[in-house]
Amino acid sequence: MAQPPTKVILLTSDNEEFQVDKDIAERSVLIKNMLEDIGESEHPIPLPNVTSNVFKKVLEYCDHHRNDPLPSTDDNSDEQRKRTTDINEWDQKFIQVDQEMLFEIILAANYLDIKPLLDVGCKTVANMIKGKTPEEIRKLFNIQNDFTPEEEAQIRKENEWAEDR
Amino acid sequence: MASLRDLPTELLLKIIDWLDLKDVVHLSGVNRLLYSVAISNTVWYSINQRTLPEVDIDSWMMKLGLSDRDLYTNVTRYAKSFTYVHAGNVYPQGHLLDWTISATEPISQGKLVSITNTFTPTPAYTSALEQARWIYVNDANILLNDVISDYVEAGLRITEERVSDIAVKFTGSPSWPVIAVDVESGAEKRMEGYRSEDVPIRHLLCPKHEDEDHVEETYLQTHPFHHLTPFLAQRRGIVSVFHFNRPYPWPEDEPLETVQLVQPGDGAPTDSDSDIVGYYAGTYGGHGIEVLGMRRFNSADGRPLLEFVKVTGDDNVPRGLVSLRVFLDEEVRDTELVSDQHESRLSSDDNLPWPIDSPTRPAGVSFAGVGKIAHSSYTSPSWTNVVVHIEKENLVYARWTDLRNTLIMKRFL
Repeated sequence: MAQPPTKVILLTSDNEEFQVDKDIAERSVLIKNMLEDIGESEHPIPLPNVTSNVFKKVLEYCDHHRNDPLPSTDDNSDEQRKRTTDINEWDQKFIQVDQEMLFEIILAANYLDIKPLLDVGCKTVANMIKGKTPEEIRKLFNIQNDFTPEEEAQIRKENEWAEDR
Repeated sequence: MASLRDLPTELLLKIIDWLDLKDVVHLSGVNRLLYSVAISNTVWYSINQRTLPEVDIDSWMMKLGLSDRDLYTNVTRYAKSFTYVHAGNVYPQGHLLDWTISATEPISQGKLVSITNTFTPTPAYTSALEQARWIYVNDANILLNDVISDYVEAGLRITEERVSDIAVKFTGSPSWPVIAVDVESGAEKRMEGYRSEDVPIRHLLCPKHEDEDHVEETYLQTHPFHHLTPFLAQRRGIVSVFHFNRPYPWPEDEPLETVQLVQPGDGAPTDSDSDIVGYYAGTYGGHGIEVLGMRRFNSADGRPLLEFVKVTGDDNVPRGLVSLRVFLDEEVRDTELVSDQHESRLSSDDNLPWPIDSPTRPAGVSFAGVGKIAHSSYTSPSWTNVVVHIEKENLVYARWTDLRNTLIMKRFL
């Protein structure tokens, strides 16, 4: 008889409790390590750097990917991984969020140590940057140009070589 | 509210890791923060790894003293000559890259500057140089220095009067391209006594050798600028050649060490015995090929010394200064020279224009010594430890133990 999956309780920064299947929660290396450290516990695990609305989104990702093979931790896999910014269809849809949520997800994935999700987030930002001029990048991310005109001219000159490639 | 600005550098780097070269360059133009991240060595190291896998970047960087970004910028601009250089170990120096001149010197950007000293060498000297192909090295050497320091500042020391610590700097101005710089104070002064002339490139060109890996000595003797051909071929028109009136190497009646280095505790050479007894040529890693004069004497406190004095300088240690001092009464057993040859020695071999057989167990004897090091323009000079291995009279290895670099010197006169 199949055992009902073990649940863990997680507490986000805004004091919302989440009851999550253990295998889903363990997609996060941070949580996995914490569970290993403290063992079985009735107490909720605090996640002070994640808010509930972001965590919901993260759980959605973990739930969908709960049966994926865990990414190997050795560095070799990093080199072997295909250098492509392609994102699979489900992830693409999942990451179609506003910029604020996108960066929140990246920060949360980094904090919770969920490498595949972090990759999805970073690739998405990279895809947004691709093919854009510095001015377009500024506009897109609402970034102030803090260069002096002289510095800007200098950088443009420095970077000229890349343009005609 | 979270935005791109809120990401720590570590995460920005992860994003940049997914970007192509051009996008990284664009990103560097967005604002100061992204500029500083985008030009970091981490980023350019990764780009180099991704895009130039066929080139042994690390060893070249080490030789050239370039940062990853400089390397990439330069290499990709002149990928052809880089490939050439990499393929042929005959003359890896000098011609592979154009240099980038700092923003204050825009005019001379991309211009080939070669330096020719107007001196009348003795026939013996000339023939020895030619046999060993060294006559051309001076030009290449200066070129390479340009590349290393990213701005043109040759190590050629001009001492018309007995002025101490004068270095020569190229200003990039067409009307007054060269000025003298007081190394200590940084003061600049106009230099008389040189002329520059423009030479059509075709005068320097010669047919490229078919097999870059196996160029015979005889060919090099008849084609002096052979090694510059790939570089020059990409240029049009003329090159500026500067002629210095400074005799070169130096007149016989003038002491070799034109600038006396103040080194408390150092035994100053006694005049009677300080004559140069031999000339050696060797490579100083990225500095290219240099010529050293060797002399033997006893220090004031009676220690038998061997000294190697720079005949050609670089922009760290100029000519005329002692480069190596060997204590002949302090024999050491240099175990590393034997065991380490695949690392440091072989990398130096790559710089050599002659084929050299690295013996697995070098014969000869090793001595303790010191070597002169300094920052650019001979600032903050100091001595560092060197083990000098004299394999035979005409083959000397100097292992700079702290720098993990080995200089191989071969006697040619």
